[in-house]
Amino acid sequence: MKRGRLELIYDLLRIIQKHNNSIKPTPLLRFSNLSSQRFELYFGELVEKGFIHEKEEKGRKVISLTDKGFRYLERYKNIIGFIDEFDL
Amino acid sequence: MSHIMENQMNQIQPGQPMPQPGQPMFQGQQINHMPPQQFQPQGQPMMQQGFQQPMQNGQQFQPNGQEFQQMPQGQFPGQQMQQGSHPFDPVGLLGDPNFGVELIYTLVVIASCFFIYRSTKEMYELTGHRGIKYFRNAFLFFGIAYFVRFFIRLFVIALDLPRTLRVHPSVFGQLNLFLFVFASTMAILYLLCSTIWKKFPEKGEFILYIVAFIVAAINMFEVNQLVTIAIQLILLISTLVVSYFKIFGTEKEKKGNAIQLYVIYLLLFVFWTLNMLDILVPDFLRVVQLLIYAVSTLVFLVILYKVIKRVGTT
Repeated sequence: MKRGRLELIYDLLRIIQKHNNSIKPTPLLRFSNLSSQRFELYFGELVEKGFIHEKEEKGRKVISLTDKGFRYLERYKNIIGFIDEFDL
Repeated sequence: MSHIMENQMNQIQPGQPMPQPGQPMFQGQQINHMPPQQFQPQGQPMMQQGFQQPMQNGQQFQPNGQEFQQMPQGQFPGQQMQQGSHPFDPVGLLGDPNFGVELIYTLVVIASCFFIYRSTKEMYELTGHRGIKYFRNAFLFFGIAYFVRFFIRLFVIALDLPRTLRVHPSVFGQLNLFLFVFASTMAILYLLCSTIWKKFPEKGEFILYIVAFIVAAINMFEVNQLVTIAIQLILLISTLVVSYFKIFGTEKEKKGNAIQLYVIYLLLFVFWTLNMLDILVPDFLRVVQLLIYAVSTLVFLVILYKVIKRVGTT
């Protein structure tokens, strides 16, 4: 079944969190099970909305969650519950 | 109380003769204290016999040839200050038995709408979900509609704005009604959009504003208030139909939620319609007014409970 936008964002953030909040873009793409085209799209959205940020670590680019990203993970179940409750 | 305020602002139309002493001006009120020809609508200066010059604001004609006398603000010409009356309560709102009930009802509904809007803020900021946006906007506009319905009229009357600003009372009545119909139509449109947001164009929100403006304008110029009720009914029925058909499209485990939501929207539909009738058609449901208030409050509180249950109090 095709994942919804909110679920995809959750999955991407969850992967980053599981890797001690530091993961390189290529493994993230691999773990996400997305096409590179869709990955680019969602990755761009996550950066734009301030859920993740890219930083240099030992000369390599890595991705970490921001406070907003952690908050999204915390609130995800509530959000989905709310959307189901009001059939939005 | 709503009828008293509604009637006060709407009953006197420009061009209509002013009520005569002894005739009811507002519901439950008699102008016993007003001598003939002394009360004139705002904006039409009272002509002094013999002098043929308009009287100045706050002055009163003295038939025995005495000088003009200064009148306290908030008092009609010829009206004597009654014992116990207050200049900021010129029509005795505070003495109306339904005033307290309507005040509590309005405050509870406005507070519920505000909490629904406020508690879904973070959720919308995190997701940018259009369904959530339309849902919270619906309650924002419900809150505004209730605010306009009660407090704007209260301010206009209690602060005696028609006299202070020298504007005919019906102007405030029309403006108030326009704002109320606009806000309530927006609320219903947003509620409808929250159920069909996937099929609604992302940049089409301005259409809602245009539709609500047209409905409010029709209400302003159309004498028959039932037209507004009919338009809002059509919108509410559309919301109901959409949420009804969604029950069948929902997965089995989520069906309970869909049915509950349908029941809530059904109650909202019934009691909003009764509220509209109560406001737009004075005396239509006077007898069961308290019951309508009680059940309407309950509907909003149930929605608030469902929101808080999911979102938390943050």
